[in-house]
Amino acid sequence: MSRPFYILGLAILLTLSLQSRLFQVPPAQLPQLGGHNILEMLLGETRQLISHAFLEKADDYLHGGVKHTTCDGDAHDHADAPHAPTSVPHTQMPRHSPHRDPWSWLNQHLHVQEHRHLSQHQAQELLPWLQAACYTDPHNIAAFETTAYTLERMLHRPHEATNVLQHAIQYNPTSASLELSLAEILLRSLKDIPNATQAFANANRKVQLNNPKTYDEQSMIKGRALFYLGHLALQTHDLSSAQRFLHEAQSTLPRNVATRDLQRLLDQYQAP
Amino acid sequence: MKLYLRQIRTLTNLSLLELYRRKDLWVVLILSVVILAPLSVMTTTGTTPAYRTVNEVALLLIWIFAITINLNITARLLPAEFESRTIYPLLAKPIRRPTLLFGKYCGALVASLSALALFYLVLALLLGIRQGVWGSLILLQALLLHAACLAVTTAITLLGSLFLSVSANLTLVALLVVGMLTNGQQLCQLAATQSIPPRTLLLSLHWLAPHLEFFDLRQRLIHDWPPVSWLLIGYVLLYAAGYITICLTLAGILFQRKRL
Repeated sequence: MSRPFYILGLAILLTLSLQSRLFQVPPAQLPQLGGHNILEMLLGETRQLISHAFLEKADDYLHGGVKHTTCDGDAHDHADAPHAPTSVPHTQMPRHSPHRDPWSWLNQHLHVQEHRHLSQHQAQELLPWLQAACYTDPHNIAAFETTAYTLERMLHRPHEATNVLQHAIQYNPTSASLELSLAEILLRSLKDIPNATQAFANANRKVQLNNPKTYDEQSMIKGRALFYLGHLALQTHDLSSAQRFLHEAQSTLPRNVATRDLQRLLDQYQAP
Repeated sequence: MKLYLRQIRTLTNLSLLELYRRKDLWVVLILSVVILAPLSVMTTTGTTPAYRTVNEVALLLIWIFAITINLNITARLLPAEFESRTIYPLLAKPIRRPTLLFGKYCGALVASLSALALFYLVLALLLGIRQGVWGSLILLQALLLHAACLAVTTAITLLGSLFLSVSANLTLVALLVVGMLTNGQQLCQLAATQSIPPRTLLLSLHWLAPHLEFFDLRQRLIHDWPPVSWLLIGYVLLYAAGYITICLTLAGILFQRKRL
């Protein structure tokens, strides 16, 4: 046999012997950190942009492939009827009237301008993009919540929705929003009261009200969590727990709508 | 007239043979199958598979590969003849320069369209087998406009090959194609938000650059929107014919004045 084959054979033997030695090296002495996602290592912060792009793509699919700037909340109930965007920012209005610009006229007629919403049985089309968004950036909470919403409300698969959220909570253990979404699915669709109660309690515990930028969202989560906890406590005739939740709501969120609703609930329960 | 047509046909056949001899088409076809086959059998969790994603990826690949083949064939046609000096025996026969140019154009176009037809055939099979949709009108319109798009890019690339190097020609045309496909619709809106110098540039692009996005019906095809009216298709084809005429006329003038 020629010399290159000998050298190749020696190289393979050397590689195999070094490989077995590497496994004996203590993990703390390895050059890379173990357990990191390969995408995180390759893409770094770019994965957030890519994940966001996948989420936007799913939104485009929801609207029949059209990018839209605004959409009425009610429009999401109209499954198949196409409608135009409700408003176009003034800065985006073209100077040239479409009637004097044949190219713009052609574009407007060739490419779809109005958008329509996918019907519920077509919501399956959103899943590949939503799954890609979740996989690319496990810290993209909006992606996980949108996936769970699509699975539960549009495709009527609540068990898969809870699996998605539980997976998300593993990557985002401090997120109160994910716990609240999980709790609502467990209560609304699966009627699993014990686990729902636990999830509402987790959401209440994880809420952080000290950041002014996220105060509105966090106070909404806390309010809803306390309302549901009080409601579930009254369901089991645990009045003391319900009053404790109301007291917590009144001390932390005195002007919140949920606090007022919980007060009304307790008053109705205690009324003769 | 018969002689003229025979000359055109001969030049066209030469370009077709060149495409299949270089095996570019087969490489692209194999790549397409390798990428699309796993996607085709991939199913997300649930009983109904998601078709639109697979269709979108398939159409994106078709567009990328068709444009790549088209640019590769066309950009190297005339420079290769000049370098290997095989242009002289061609012109020594009684073939006029415009005839030669038009023959090369037809050859590159037919070669690109044959590849395109193959890709769309695979796509039609994919749609038929997976979704039970055979021979839809919107697919036919998409194919027709895509073919017109390739006719325009062939003319532009052929014009560029007369005064640019191969790599510069490929780069510029590729940038033009990608730029117009992604941003062609928004040029007017972008121009409205800019100051005068960039606004002038953007408006010039809007009026003069080839609006290749006219030929892109992927959105309608993927998301089950209704077909476009045939009158509009006619307008777009008229636009393509006009642009091709302008490019080939300029190419003819340049080729006539070119010192060989």
